[in-house]
Amino acid sequence: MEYKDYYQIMGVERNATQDEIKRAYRKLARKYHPDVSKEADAEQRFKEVGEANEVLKDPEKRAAYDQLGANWKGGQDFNAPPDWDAGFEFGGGGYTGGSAGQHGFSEADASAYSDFFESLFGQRFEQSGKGAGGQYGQQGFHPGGGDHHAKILIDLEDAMNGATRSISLRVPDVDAGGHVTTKERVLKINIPKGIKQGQHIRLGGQGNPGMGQGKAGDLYLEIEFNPHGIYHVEGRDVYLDLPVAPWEAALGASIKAPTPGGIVDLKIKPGSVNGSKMRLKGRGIPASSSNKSAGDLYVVLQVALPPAGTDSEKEAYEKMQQSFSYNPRAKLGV
Amino acid sequence: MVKQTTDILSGYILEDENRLTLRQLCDACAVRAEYIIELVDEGFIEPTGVERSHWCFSGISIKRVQTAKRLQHDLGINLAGVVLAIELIDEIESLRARVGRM
Repeated sequence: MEYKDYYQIMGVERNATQDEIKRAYRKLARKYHPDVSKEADAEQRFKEVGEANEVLKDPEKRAAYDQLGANWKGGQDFNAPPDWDAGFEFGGGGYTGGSAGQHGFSEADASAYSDFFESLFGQRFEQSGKGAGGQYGQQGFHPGGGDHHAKILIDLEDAMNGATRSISLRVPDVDAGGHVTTKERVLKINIPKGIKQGQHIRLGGQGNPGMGQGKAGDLYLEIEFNPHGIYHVEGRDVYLDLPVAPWEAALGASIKAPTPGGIVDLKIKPGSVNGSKMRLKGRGIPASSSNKSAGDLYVVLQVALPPAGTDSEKEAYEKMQQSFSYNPRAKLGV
Repeated sequence: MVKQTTDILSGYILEDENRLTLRQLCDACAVRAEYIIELVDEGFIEPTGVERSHWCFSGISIKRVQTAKRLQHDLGINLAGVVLAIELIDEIESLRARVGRM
C-alpha cells in the first residue's frame, strides 16, 4: 500500500502547531469542498484532506504517525511495522467524524479513507463502530443510507430523443464481519426526453443502502451535456452557427441547414448580415412534460469570406472593389 | 417512484417536480421542518402558497437544502453565510457557463 504524507497533503511542516494544522485544514476544506470547487478531483482531494486532518488534529494519532519516521515519501510502498503503535491509546476510535453520519461529504465514511489509514488506525474503528451500532440497536434505530450524488454526461441527442445510459457507482458495502469496502454498482438509467443541462434525475431508494432495516437513500444524477461539435445549448434552446457565403447573405438564398432533428431547408432573407439570427420555433430540445414548452433552434448566420485563390476569383474581388464605395471602418473615423 | 422495467430505472426530473409539501421536503432532505422554515425566511427557497400547511416546493429545493446542509456541516458556516455562499456559487456557475459559450 502507499504511504500517505499527511503533512504534505495539508501543506504544513512536520513541526506545525495544532493551531496551524487546524487553519490549514479549514482553508483546504473550503477550497476543495465538492459543493464549492469545480475541480474534477475535488471530492478526492477533500477526502484526502479530511483523512490527513483526522490523523493530525488528534495529538495521539499524530504522535503515532510521526513515530513512523520522517523519511517516508508520499506514494512509497508501505507496510505497518508490527507493534508500531505500542504505547499509544487512541481513545476516540479511528474515525472521530462519526456523528457526521450522512450529512456531509466529510462523513466518517470508512470507505473514503485510504488503505494506509485503515492499516494504522482502522481496527479501532471497527471496535468503536460496533459500539456505535450497538447504541443504535438499543434504541431500535436503523440509520438510513445516505443519498448518493453523481454526475452523468449525455449528448444533446439523448435529450432530444430520450436514451438509456449505463452508469457505474462506487458504493460502500458492509460485509458480515462489519468491514466496509467499496463495490461497484452498475445501473441502467432512462434519460428522459427533454431534460436540460444542470437538471437532476432523482431515483428514490437507489442511493446507499441503509443499515439493518434502515431505508436506502436516494440517488441524484446531475445532467451534464458533452460539448457538441456544431450546436450549443442554453436551457432548451439550441444555437447553431451557420456559415453563409457573402452573396447568400446579400442576395438571399435557399440553403440546407442541419438541426438536431434532421436537415431542413432554410430561406435566407436578402440583406442578411453577419450575426443575423433566425428562430425555428420548437426545434430545440422537446418539452419534458405537458406544462413545459419545447425549446427553439436559433440559427446565427456567419458570413464566411471565400479565399481569392485563382485569377478569376481575384478578378471577382477586384470587380467588387470597383462596384462598391464601401468603407468598413467608417465608424472608426478613418 | 422508481419503476424497475427490465432493470432500466426511470426517475423523475427534480426540477419538473413542483408540488412538494413541507413534510415531503423534510423527508427527502432528512431535516426538521424548522430548518426548512429558516431557509424560507432567508429567501433561499421559495414555496408557493401563503400558509405553511399549503406550502408547495419545487423539486430543486431538495438539492438546495441538501447543499446548504452539507456546507453548514462540513465547513461550520452559519445559515446566512451558507445562503450567501451558495448564491455566489450559483452566480459563478452562470458566469462560467457564459464564458464557456464565448
